[in-house]
Amino acid sequence: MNFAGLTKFLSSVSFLSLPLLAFSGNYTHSNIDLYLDELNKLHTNQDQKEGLRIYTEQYLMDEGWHSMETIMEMELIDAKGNRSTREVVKKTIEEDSSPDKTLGIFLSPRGIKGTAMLTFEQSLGADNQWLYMPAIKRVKKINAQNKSGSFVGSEFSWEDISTTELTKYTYKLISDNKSHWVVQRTPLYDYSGYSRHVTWVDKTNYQTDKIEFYDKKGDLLKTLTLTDWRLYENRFWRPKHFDMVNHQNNKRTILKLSEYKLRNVDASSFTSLNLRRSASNIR
Amino acid sequence: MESHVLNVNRPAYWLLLCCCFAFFCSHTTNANDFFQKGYIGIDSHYYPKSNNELQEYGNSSFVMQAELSHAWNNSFFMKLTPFARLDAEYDDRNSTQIKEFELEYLNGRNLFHIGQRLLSWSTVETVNVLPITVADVVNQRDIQGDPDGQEKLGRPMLSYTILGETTQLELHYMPFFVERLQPLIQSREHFAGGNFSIIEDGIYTDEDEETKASYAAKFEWVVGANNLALFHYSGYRNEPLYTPIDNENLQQLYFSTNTSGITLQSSISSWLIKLEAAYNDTEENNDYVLPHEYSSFIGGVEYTLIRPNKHADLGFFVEYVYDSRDSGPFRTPFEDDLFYGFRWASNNHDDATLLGGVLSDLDDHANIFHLNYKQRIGNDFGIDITARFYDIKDDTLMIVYENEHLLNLTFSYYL
Repeated sequence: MNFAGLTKFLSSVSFLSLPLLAFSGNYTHSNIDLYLDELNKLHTNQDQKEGLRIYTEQYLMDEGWHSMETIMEMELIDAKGNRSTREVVKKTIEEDSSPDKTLGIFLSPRGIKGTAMLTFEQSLGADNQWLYMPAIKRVKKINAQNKSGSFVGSEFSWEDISTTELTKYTYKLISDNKSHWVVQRTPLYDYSGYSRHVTWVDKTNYQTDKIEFYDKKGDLLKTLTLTDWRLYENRFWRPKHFDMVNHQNNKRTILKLSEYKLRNVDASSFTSLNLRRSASNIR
Repeated sequence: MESHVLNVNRPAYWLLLCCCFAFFCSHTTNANDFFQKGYIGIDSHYYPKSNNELQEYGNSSFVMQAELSHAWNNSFFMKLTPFARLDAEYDDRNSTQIKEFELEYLNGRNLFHIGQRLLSWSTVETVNVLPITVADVVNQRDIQGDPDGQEKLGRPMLSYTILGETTQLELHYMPFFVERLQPLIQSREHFAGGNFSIIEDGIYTDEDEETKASYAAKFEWVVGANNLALFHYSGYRNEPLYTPIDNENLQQLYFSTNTSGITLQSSISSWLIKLEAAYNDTEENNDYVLPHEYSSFIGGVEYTLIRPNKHADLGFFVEYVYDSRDSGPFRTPFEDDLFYGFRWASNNHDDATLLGGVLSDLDDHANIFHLNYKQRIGNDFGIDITARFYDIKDDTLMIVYENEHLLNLTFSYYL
């Protein structure tokens, strides 16, 4: 047996798994450094460091909510003002040391009621995504590489509605007024539809309440405004109203969310093995 | 054959299930909790070319389906899916079915089901378009209603599932077999192209006939972007053999098999990989000539284009179809074929999708062109159009399909 080779193999395995072993649980100011190690190297000047600091603060404030459930009413408005709506139950579970998992179950239009989509977000690679189609009772693995594609015909793309993992962007403070920091975010992941986001972060609570999305050519594509904020458990800020305006096609999508229920979701719903059950049995 | 009160094709069975559900409903408080969704619609099949002077050009039927369910205290869940079809042309296509009627009980990681169920184990695209069975071995196809075989008949079973985070084991016990409902000789969905009548009740290789129990098991892992499953089914094969009784009549013969197989769904960057494969071992029988053992496989890839800021999704797929029954009396036309095409999804408010594909035989000149378009109209209506065209030159098995070009239109109102 090649002992030297085996030792080398084992040590490389332990090296690779070290960041995983080193941490399990929620991040805090004291243990986030390892997670931010690579990101810190991309933030060298003062404005970049300040941008990262603001978003790290926002990220840490939002650790520990465990799970949440809300009903999302989505109103699609086309350039002529025609409206159509769809309703989705959205459940999200916070994962230790890995990005969150999201389950969406359609309630309307009636023709697609019971269709469910499960997404395991990945920091940089393609998300893992499954779709349950009630008409044929099949759970299909679907391709989630196309992050810039529309989410069910709305002006939100996949990358807009997925949860915000800190390591997906680089940050830079570009200006600062009495109420807000204006921070530019640049996507690090492949296949984004954007060259950058310009975000407004409220100084009182570190929440982002406006985002401008710039397309690959650098032109303003969309503006998202987040209002009707609620504070849960005295810690977790959540907006109940999202308004996305597309400046290039003049379409608009409004999301209205019900009250969020925190710590209410059963972790066993978040597996593709159980997707059919989760979809047909909305408890 | 003597009628059996628990035969799923008999009205008595239907009535019994309805009574059970009414009983459960009466023991709960709010009736509005039950109705989940449903549809009523018109489903028309039109065959532009004549095949046999006995046979008509198609049919039109009124279809309806409802889905009712209720949950009790997080442990019990009941679901009922009645379906009805009323045909303008043929009485044999009139059908009332309970597609699903199941009671579910959850206790920790243990999940129990009893009732009429539909199980779908397939992963590939080809089986959505053609009546080929590799992994979907449990439920009988509703050939009368849908010549593509997409519609299935529910099957009574008792199931136990152990739920895990990344693995799941399902065990199923099925006390009865559900026979294929055969279309009338005048109907274009008829198997033998109107050349023979098919006797309604089938015969079986086992003396217990349709009451011989079947068993099925499936074990599935999900590892990262991969879903891998192993399955086994022991019982009557859903596709009968057709044996001649005389010059005019065929009889359906159902024989026992052990089917073991594997399914896979996987994604790597913009590629999806899907496959299913099965090995079928027929139980020996001295009275009938049966296919001994055979294996079948369908597998392929799908590529989705990355199109920044485009609303519509566009992807291409190709699947290889293999079956070891490529010669002899039991040979199948789908033994060495490619199914390839595209899928376009508008991603618009009307959810319009278009799927186009060609199944090409790699040995003979035989192509089946398939096109499906569907969209919602407003919030409450939907339209689904399928066109199929056969280009058959020298495939002796497929030649019976050469005039079977089909236009299928479904218009639905969602309840």
